[in-house]
Amino acid sequence: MKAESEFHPFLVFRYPGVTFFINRNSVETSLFLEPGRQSRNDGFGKGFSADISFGGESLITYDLARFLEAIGPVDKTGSEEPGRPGGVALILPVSGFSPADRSTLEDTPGRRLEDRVSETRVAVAMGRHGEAESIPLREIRLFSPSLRGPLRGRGLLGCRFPGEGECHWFLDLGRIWMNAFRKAAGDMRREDGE
Amino acid sequence: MQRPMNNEAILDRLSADSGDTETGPAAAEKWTKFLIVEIGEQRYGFYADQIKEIVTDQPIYYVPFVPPYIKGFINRHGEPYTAFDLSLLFEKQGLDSRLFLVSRHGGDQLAFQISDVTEILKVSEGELHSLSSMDDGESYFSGVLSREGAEDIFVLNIDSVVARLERDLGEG
Repeated sequence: MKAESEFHPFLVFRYPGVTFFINRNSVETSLFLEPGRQSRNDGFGKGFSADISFGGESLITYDLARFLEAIGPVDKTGSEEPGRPGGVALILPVSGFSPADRSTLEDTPGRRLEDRVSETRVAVAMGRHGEAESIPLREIRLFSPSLRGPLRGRGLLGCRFPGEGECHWFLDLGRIWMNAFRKAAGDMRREDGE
Repeated sequence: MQRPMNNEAILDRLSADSGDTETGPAAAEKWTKFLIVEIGEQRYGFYADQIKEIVTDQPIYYVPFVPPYIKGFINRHGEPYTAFDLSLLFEKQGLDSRLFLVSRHGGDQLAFQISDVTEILKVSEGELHSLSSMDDGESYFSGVLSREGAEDIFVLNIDSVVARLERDLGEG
């Protein structure tokens, strides 16, 4: 019983140069994306679009490639490569967000965003397919205390070293989505002259 | 002919060298051990009791969203240790080395990139002088080792380096 409880389900995504994993429980479901899909610019700000529908709603979708660009030394080739699979969109329930984040979503000024933000779900487009993996919790390490808070605020919760020369990041997709959304909303407000 | 040393003998010898068994007048004086290292062209001192190990040939794992003087992590026994490039912080010149001092200080897991370890110094309290003029409030050093006929060596204050990191991350 104890040994079982030490494992937890995660989704692992492997990109050239970076591998990360996310808590399976933070994802409601996933949708396949068409090969060669390019995230549309729907006027939501960089990295956001609303071209994914689920449960009769258009979901505001953040393209994780934007985050990977911010991370740095990562090969960005993914769904853009001809012939590659289109990856998946992970659907995140807003109910899993903090009250402050939910409030931000509800109160965001700027009509272009306000009109289209689903109140129940958001999505993250991944350039690739992930693998479900059960990972022993004892393998996951928190960062050093001086880095822990700031990196958590950026959506990096910890890491694991599964093998020689390998470091996998434990990501918080909800936090990454919210950070990008706040930035996009701020850009919108500036553009609107508010 | 000298008898080969068994482990006990080696430990006894190390213990004696470390001053654990000192007696007599010298024992009354307070001694502190420092690890003297080269970082680029500069020499610095570290309190020896703040250093857990010296490791080489460590791969550095990149970390995003941190100041440039944080090279990333090194993996020590499955734990991420934050790797500082003090040369970049102090001299604005990055260091290319895979030699690290590993420290567990105040709950933080830290690693300091160095060029070389030059010596271990055991000095009396009187040889460590405090720095009097810290006008910018940002001294990274807790004192300076002054010995006759030798160059002064600044002793790192790990707390202030960590405080700088926390400040930079807070502003990020």
